[in-house]
Amino acid sequence: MTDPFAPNRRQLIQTLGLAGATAAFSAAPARGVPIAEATGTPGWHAGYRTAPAAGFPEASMTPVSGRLPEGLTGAFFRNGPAQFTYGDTVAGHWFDGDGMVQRIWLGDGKASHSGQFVQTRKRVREQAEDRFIYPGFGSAGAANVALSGPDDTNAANTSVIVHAGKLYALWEGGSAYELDPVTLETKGPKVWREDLTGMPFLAHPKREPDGRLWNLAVGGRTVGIYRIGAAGDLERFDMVDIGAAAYIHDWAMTDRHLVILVQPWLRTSFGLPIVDHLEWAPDEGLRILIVDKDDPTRTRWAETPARFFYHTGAAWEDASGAIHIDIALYDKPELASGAATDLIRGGPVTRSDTPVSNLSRLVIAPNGDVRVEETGIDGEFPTVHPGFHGLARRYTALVGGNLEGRPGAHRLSVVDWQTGRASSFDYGNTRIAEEHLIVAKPTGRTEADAWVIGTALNTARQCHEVHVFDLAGVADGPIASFAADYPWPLGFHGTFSPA
Amino acid sequence: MRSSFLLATAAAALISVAPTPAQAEEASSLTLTIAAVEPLSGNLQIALFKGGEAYEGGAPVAAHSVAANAANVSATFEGLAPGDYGVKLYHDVNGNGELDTNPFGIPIEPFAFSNDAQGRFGPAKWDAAAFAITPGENSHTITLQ
Repeated sequence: MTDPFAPNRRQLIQTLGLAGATAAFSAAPARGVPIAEATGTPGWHAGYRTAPAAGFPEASMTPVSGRLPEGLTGAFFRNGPAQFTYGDTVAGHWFDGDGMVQRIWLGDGKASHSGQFVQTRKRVREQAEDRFIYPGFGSAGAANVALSGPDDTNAANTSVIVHAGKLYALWEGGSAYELDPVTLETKGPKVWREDLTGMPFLAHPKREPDGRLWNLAVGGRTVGIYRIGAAGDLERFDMVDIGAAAYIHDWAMTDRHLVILVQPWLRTSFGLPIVDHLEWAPDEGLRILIVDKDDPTRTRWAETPARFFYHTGAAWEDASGAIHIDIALYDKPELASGAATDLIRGGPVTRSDTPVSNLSRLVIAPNGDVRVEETGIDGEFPTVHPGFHGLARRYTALVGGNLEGRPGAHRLSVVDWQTGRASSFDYGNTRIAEEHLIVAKPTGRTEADAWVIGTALNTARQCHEVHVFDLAGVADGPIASFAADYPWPLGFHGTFSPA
Repeated sequence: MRSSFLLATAAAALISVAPTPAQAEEASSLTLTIAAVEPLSGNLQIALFKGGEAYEGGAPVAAHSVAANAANVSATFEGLAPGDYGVKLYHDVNGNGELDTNPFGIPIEPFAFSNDAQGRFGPAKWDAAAFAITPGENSHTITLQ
């Protein structure tokens, strides 16, 4: 098969260049970075400040432009770190802040917002003692703090999923935490089966269009595989050997296979914080374990030169059996340290602190050969139409771009893998775009019959916003936008749960 | 945190090793109370170690299995020589004779150490768990969490 990006690369770049600027967003080119007068730190710092311990009570958001489309009704949940300081003490890494789940309710032409911290064991104790105690990804924690398992350090801050009507806040190394989907009250760690108590539940579960959910338990060289029915019951749990204790944040799934990408960022010794015990070993390559969903003992390997990634979009298999994975690749591990605490402090941040990815497609032939097709599009948080997860599809949404003097993405792109073109919308210098999701229209029959919804922090007006696009017209800008009266901390991943 | 927090807890050692009889003429005794037992099923498997070397990997001087039938249960150890001791215990909730763990080796049944000491990826260290047994009667309480 030909590389669709080769002939269209020029066109693709043009498309990107032409993107943006609808009426609502046609602000003059930004000069410098907005300053939040109240604090003296840059405007973007509103995204990295500790949220109120009591959370955000439900408050209506103000319509800014457009109209919420008929049929878009449901809860848009997001999760991200939201506790960054105790007194003068700063968390050791942005990734280690306690999770706060944001809930944006959309319906009847209106939007409202609420948010609550996940009351993990870690948070409850640290709040009671008004200090950081537990170690994490990049935080050392208090000296000699007792630890009996990963859930002691579970920040429940990475993602969120609704499955069989239940809402879970997800981390990557510990249990999912169940929350009430309306009040966001924490119910406690989820036990899928008694003997799996305390097993990690990765922040990137994958759901088949028929509702079955798959996820990994990552804890070293051995990885667990959850298969959870549409009704929420654990159907089976298997273990596979991935050959190395690699850092795994995300993975991929087709209709027939699970694809575990074993990148060579390897745990060389045991200890905390995690990042201090990981070593980049590019000679090991990027090894890919392909697991048969029907029989997890049936596996095969593929391999390609070392690359680093946090996120995949999704995967699918063509008629030849080749597996296609869209993935945001880097040359080496990024965001491991350094700038992550500068974000919490409010700077300084330079453009080079925001890593630049290359959205690519890995094509794994049945014989194990791997081809890497690079799009040249920089971005993160790739997402796909949930009705096509694991199946052949055309579109991936992602946010990207970086600007001098501020962190975060400013551009939403929807890549059409069939044409090799991307259409994009530029939020400009006064907004930080978070992950955007593709949401099926209730009446939609095709992949393109969808909306794209996402949040952005308005750094000039110091408020959070939610924006709705038509997937087919992303470059035209949002068709509906709402603004809260206040900002909340920037997060990682979300999910949309239709009413 | 991703790593396997593994094995750790001692428990395997405490059931697999036969207790060493203490000297009968040394008249110290220990009444050990285990508080906050929950659920009320199965047994508490208790191992008493004398000295740091035994505690960190040797044999217990005594081991008791006590029915977990009340929120507070006690076990009495007689004929102990005065000295520094440590306790490792777990609540065998399902009575299968083992400290059950999840597939990554994290215990999924309650466990505890003397002084309510806690470990870091494993059993509490001797320095934190050691307590003195003096001539005569002694008592010590461990609260399960």
